[in-house]
Amino acid sequence: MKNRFAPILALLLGLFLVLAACQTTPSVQEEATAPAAEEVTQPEATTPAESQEETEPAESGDITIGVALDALFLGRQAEMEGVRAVADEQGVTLLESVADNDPQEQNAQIQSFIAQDVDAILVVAVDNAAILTAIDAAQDAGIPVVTFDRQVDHDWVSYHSGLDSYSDGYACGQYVASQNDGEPHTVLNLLGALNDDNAIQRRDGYEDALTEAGADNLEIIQAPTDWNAEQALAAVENAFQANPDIWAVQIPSDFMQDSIKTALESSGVLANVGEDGHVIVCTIDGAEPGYRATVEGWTDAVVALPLAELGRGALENAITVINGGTPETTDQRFPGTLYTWENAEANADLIWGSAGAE
Amino acid sequence: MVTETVDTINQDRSVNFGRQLGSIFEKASVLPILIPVCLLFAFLAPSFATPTNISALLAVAAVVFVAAVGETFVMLTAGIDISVASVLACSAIIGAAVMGQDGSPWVGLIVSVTVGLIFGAFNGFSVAVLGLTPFVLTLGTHLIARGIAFSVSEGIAMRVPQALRQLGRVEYLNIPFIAFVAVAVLLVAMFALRKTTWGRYIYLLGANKDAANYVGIRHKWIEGSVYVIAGGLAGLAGYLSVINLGVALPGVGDPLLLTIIGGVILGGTSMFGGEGAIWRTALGILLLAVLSNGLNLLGFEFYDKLIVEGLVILLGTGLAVRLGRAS
Repeated sequence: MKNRFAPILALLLGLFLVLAACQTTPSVQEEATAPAAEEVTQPEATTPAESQEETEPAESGDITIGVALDALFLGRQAEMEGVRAVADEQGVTLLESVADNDPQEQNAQIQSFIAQDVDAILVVAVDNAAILTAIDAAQDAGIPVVTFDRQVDHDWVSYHSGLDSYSDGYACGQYVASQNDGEPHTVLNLLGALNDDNAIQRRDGYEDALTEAGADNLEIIQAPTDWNAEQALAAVENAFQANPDIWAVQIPSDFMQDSIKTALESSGVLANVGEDGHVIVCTIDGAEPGYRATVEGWTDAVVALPLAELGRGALENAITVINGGTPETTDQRFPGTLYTWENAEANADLIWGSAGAE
Repeated sequence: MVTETVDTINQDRSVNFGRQLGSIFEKASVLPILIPVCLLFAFLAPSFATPTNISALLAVAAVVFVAAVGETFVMLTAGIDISVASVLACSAIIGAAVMGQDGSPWVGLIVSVTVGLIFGAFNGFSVAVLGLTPFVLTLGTHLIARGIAFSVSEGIAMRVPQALRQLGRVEYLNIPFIAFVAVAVLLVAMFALRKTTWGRYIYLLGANKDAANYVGIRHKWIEGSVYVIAGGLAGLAGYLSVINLGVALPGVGDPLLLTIIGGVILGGTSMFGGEGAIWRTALGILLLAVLSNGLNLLGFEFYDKLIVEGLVILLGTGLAVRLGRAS
């Protein structure tokens, strides 16, 4: 067995050596940034802007940017429409990867972008802590990093375009407060996931709006969904069993809209606005299920998020950084707009999920 | 006359080389796929064979491989441990919880491995002594470990000392630190399997439990010990994942289970026990890592990547069966 193993190792070693030898001359950046043999890599105390000062502005057509996404779903596709639109306008080449919510896979994908010597990396982190080592590696290679949707706390991140989740939750809270008749009521506030800043901000915004409106008659109960439609279904059914008089439901993301509809139906409280027994429902995102539910009338309002703008902002600022510029702000927030059952259809062009409902 | 003799010798050498190569491919059925795949990626993706990329590839493979070594031991005895990925995550989380952000990395290492060993001891005792079915038992352990990981971490990433995060970036000759740990595990495991009586008993137990019993092998001890080692290595792999990611994640093992078991089987270790080797597992894991990495570099969409990976696994498994029959 010993004799068999040795040739295999030799074969593999030889293969890697041949591949490495056949490799074309490393690019200028690789030569400049690759650590010398036996050298321990250490983060450099420079900022992305400082690093870019020494480089010539790149022609847009020569720019290649890696986009590391956490997962593929409607909202992310909408953000990518904005990214791709800017890429088309400016002749930027995009290399896209999807980590399927696996932080190790996402780190490996970012390492692949670094190996490909991309000009910048756009990231929606699977986990904003687990991504840090990958951003360290990008920093070592001198490659600027821009984040969108999910913020990452790392000095090397040049720019972040994110949602204004507090404001989005607040808009829903204001709407519910505007419907308040002063009678004692129970309000169900569904939570996304407690490890997701967007979920926490939406919850806080919603409840702060009710508090600031002086809605002391409203008792708020919370139920976790962990961003899971089945869990949301169970949470709403359980909540209605325990509190049959729930007056309003806050949905943190409208991908779970159909589950909520099923739960309301099975609890015997599904009714359109103006009908007896109607429960006030406000939802956030503006995806097809939320838009459809609002037009149908069983959902009162939807906060449509400007996802394409968020994606546009990320790529535009990445190009700015590549060309040696500095973004006007390092943390830009894009608040959503609330549309009610009365005006959602008329404003379909402004709600990104409306296209899927046609 | 002399020329004829030289020709004959050359022919013999050629035949011998061909036989040797055939023998290698029979034992390492992954190689006929791994080598062309590597060449193809190197041709199509210019950055595939760069030191930066190979370093990244090895770092990803190292964590999976260390856990897969334990799984190989278990599968050689005709068992299976599907708790390995959750034990990996649980060990990482508890190690990180005890370490905190200011504790000693050594404490984290000891705690992580100990947690893995405890789970392994539980599995080993239940399978070997109580006679529980490995699949069902380790399914239960998987759920317990996963539950503990999420409960302790409250579902969020746990920060660890900065020194560990720095360790994840340490390279020697462009090879990441954790890859050296994986190589050390490879060598020790190979030695244990080939050069010790315990290792030979594992093969015998997997090939024929009754025969092992008949010749007086303490099969319960052997069977239990492989689960203990699998647990300990899962704990070590959890710690390596912390070094690699810079944090401990409760769900870090979720996507790894199929890769771990898939890598072991793809490498040619039999699910029915008695046949396989650690180096085969290394090749199986390497193939999966190369595939994932190369397809990323080629810009394959996520879903297309899954299809290609699935096809290659089918091809590899088919080839392993074919070559296994031939040998």
